[in-house]
Amino acid sequence: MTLDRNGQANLPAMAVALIIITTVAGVSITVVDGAFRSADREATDRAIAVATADRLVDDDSPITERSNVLAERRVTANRIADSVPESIDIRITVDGDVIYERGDPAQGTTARRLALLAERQQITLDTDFEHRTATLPRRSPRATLTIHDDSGIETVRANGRVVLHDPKGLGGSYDVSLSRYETTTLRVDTVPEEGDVTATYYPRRTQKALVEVTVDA
Amino acid sequence: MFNWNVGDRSDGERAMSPVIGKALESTLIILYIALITATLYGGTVPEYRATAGSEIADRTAADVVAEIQRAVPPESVDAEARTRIDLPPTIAGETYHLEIVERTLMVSHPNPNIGAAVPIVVPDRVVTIEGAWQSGGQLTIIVRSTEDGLVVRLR
Repeated sequence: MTLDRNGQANLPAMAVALIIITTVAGVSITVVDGAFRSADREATDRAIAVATADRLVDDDSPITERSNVLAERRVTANRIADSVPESIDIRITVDGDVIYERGDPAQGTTARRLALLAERQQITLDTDFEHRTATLPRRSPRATLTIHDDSGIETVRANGRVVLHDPKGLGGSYDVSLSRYETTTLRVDTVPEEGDVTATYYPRRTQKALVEVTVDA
Repeated sequence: MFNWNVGDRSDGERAMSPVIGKALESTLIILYIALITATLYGGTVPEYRATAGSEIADRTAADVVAEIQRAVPPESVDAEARTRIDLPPTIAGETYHLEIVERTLMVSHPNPNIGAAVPIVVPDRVVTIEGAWQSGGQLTIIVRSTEDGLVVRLR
């Protein structure tokens, strides 16, 4: 080695070292950037969505009959509007149908709750009590019996329990409450004429529904 | 780096060469460290602290709001409930402040890039939610029933 070349021989080595350190630092910063980006979980959006969804299917929600059972006739935008926090973009769907929407929460976080959607039906029983009895095909918490004045019926029993009794003979329209937990058989004490007794009952038809709340705060 | 073969003085002019070399290297290293430090602490580190801080603030706010919502008792005649929760004493190395403004929980922090606001979703029977809390110690959520309805207070 000549004198001139030997003088600052470790400068190139140092330059290489610095370049390596810079590269490592750059790569680390990129990795950290990626970590921060993937840690961005929209905690507030999630909190609002979960809270709103829980509130909607809760016992004291304006749209439920009881916890987790939505009453179909109550599932309207007006009733939901009061339960929804203000100043955020939100969309609420029940089984894919948009019930309530404000703004455009397309990029938001979604909370899902499985619930039952209950619809109260009104069905008139197709029977004339030919054998004095009639069984309601589905459970119903109450029934409406319309009895003609001249039918001569004094007592109506539901599963053996007397629900209507008048020694002078029943006549008119009566609401009777029934057990929700067993199938009801109505029994009258005389064989009525055709059309003398009509029974209307109110079974509930339920289907599963997915309540989705999407929030973009 | 070390080039101590100063005994090999075939030429007198070579004596200063290692000294200059070391000085040059040291200067470059110091400049490099200064540059890196300035870059990191001038931009990257504060940005990361703010990003991490605002995530923590978001999560803290979400936790507190979830606890408030959970603290509301079911419908009953008379209720009083206290919930104590532990929260981070500092965010990004500084104390912060929780406050309820119009049914929204606000996190305020000395760093303007850190903060969060989460609306509180509670049933209508909760008439008032109020209170503020300075970080450090436990946060107490007090739910008390009054004639008009439930009152939630942070302390």
